[in-house]
Amino acid sequence: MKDVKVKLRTKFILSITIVVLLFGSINIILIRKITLESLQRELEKRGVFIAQNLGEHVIEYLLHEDFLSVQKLVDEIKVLDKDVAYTFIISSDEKVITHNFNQTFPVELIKANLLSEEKEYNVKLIFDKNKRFLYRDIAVPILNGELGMVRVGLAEKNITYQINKANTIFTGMVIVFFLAGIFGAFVFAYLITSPISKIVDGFAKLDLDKTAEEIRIKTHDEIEYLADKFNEMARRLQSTHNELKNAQTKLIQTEKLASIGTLVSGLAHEINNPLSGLKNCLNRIKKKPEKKETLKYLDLMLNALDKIEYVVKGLLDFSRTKSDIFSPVSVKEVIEKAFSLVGYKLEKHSIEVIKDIKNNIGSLMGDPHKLEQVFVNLILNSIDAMPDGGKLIVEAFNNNNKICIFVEDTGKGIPEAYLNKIFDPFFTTKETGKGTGLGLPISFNFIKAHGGEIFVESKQGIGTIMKVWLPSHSSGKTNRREK
Amino acid sequence: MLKSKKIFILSLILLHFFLLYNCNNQEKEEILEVDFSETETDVNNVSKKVQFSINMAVSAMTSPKETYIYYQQLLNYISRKINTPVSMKQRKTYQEVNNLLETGESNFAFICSGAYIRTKKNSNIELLAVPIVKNEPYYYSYIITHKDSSIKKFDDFYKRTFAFTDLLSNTGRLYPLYLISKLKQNPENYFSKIIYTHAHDFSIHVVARKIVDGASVDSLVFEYIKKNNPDKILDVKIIKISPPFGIPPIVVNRYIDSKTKNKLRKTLFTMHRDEEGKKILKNLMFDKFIEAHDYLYNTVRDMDNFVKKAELKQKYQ
Ligand SMILES: Nc1ncnc2c1ncn2[C@@H]1O[C@H](COP(=O)(O)OP(=O)(O)OP(=O)(O)O)[C@@H](O)[C@H]1O
Ligand SMILES: [Mg+2]
Repeated sequence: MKDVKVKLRTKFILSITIVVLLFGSINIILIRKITLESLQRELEKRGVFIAQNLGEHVIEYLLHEDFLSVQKLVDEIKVLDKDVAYTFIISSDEKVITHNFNQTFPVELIKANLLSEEKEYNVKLIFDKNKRFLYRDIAVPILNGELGMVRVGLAEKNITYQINKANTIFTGMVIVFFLAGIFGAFVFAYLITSPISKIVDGFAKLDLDKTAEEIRIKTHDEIEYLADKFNEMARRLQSTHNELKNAQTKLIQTEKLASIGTLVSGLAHEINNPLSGLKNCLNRIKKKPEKKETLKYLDLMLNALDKIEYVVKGLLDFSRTKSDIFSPVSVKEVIEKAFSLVGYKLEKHSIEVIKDIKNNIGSLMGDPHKLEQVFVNLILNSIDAMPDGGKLIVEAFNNNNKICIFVEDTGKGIPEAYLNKIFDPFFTTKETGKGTGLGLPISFNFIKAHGGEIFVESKQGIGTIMKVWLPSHSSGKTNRREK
Repeated sequence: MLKSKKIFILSLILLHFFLLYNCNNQEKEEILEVDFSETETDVNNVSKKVQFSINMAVSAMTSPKETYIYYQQLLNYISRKINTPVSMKQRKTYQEVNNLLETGESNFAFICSGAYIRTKKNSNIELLAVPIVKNEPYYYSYIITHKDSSIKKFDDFYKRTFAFTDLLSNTGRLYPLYLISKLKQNPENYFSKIIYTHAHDFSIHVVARKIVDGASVDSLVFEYIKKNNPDKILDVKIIKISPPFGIPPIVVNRYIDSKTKNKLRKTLFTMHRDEEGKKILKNLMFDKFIEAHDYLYNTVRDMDNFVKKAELKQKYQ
């Protein structure tokens, strides 16, 4: 789980919380606004109703000039509705007919809310500068304004109180809502992500070499399905893995048998020829031992034994790859020595030699004779590939504490099909008696023993490069392979 | 994938702010500052109204509001024609109107025929004009009951409930009293209960609502309502129509100067000749105004005398 930068659970919680906060706040504000407005509308409606009712009632009394009854009505309003702060009636020429203020009447109020014509009512917010009270003043015409108008002032503080009460409820609601939302987010996130975490753990623990533990999830949803699929996949992977392993071991065995086959048949072939020669000679000597050809036959027999000895020695070289004692070796010297051994052959086949050996190439720990043999082998192969002359380029340089030696020729090249065979013992394309097919395998083993590597690059008809690299001495690693 | 997620979250937040902005952007109501300390003790100055040279008094034929609307146009027309502001006073009872005329508080009035005959012989009240309705200066009293009522004739109202309009009303009280007197019955205990409605339209209303079994109403008001609010009379039926009476006149008193009086008379008599006047008359359902004569009200006076005599008889029997 260390690789997961942001946990799924955190993402879940964050996004749900954000959504809850965003829409929660919108909700709250909307609800608050609606309640506030409806409270205000309600109050306004009530005020308008009171004023209109009064306006209708006073018509008769006003027409009859019964101001006593008008005053009674106006006074009653204040008693009936405690939200009504004041009520007064003014005539069409803006004279106050009756009012229910205590004793005196604030004259400025008359002009504060004037009715425009043909309006059923008019509402204005009026602020008392001295007492700092807010009133909702409602003006309603009496008999279409012909008899004046009724004015009712509602104390806004009562509705403010109601709004404040509603506000506290809302704030509580918000908190509960948010807390519930966030708690829900946690629970939700846990429910969703814990099975996913189980699956992730399952992946992390999956080891094909051991029997896999099954992931057990019972959520009855896609995640359970995913877990089932995972178990199935793990099972399949494991069986495939086992099959593959078996196949591999089998393959290795077959390969081993195959190379032993090549080795044996090659060996048999190489030894069979001189052996039959030997047998031939011995038969002839046996028939006429006193013949003077006997000496000639003995020479032939020696030759055949030499050949056998050569093969056996080569085999021994191949098998005894583990080197004894390594000493510092100058690569330049080794290469020069190799060239001196094959110089006459190069001349004979009129091969142009280009040597590019860097001076700073350094030395390495190794066996100079074996390395010599490697390069002799490579050069001989190149010569064999260029019987009618060509170019032989030998490059040596140091790259990153690696000594690289390239042996390049412009010979006939190696067919692609043979490229992975040339390092097999006894693989040769050369006619019998000319090549044993041990040169490259021996060289390969020697290079390996020095901790290096050898590669081939070749194109038929163009040429071949044998690339050798060996660890340099200065790299500090001494390649001492004992045993 | 990541980009679209970011865009989504961004748009969510933008949407949020947009909504918030909209919510808070509600139009703030304008608040007016008023100095409540600037006060005045004596504000009831309505009573000290400008003295109008013509002050018309009306007794409520219909409810005060209806009456006001009914006469307002006529009043405006008159005041424009004679170039003098005319004010209007309404009173609940006919007696109050008569008092206004007698004291001089009003000098011009529409009064009920019943109220007119009650003015003292030597009073300062003088007939000015009388409207013509359907080519005659007469009106009637309609005796009405609920349309579902079993009452067929006036006698059936015996020991039933009945609505009178006003003490001085001709059509609304005097006529049914006369009918009872003719039956040689005592009006005081003829009905099981009497209520005073002080408006003919209200009398119709209480009958329609079965609050009383019957009522006696002014034909002019009844026809006016029939024309303008036919729904209101759907539930009532007329079971008896009185003989014709002189239509309630327009009167003046001696407090009015003769010049104004003549102007008033002229205006009223020529009203039907100009378009505007014609329209107002039509609304009031009057043809025109003509010279009024006291004899028009003799039938009412006779009826009144008959009832009085009958009452006296009852008293001393
Ligand atoms: N430079 C080269 N150009 C072309 N073919 C090459 C070259 N080097 C090796 N080969 C091919 O690889 C084969 C194996 O080479 P290797 O040196 O192992 O055996 P050999 O040369 O045939 O016999 P010997 O044991 O005498 O070296 C050769 O027979 C030859 O076909
Ligand atoms: Mg070779």
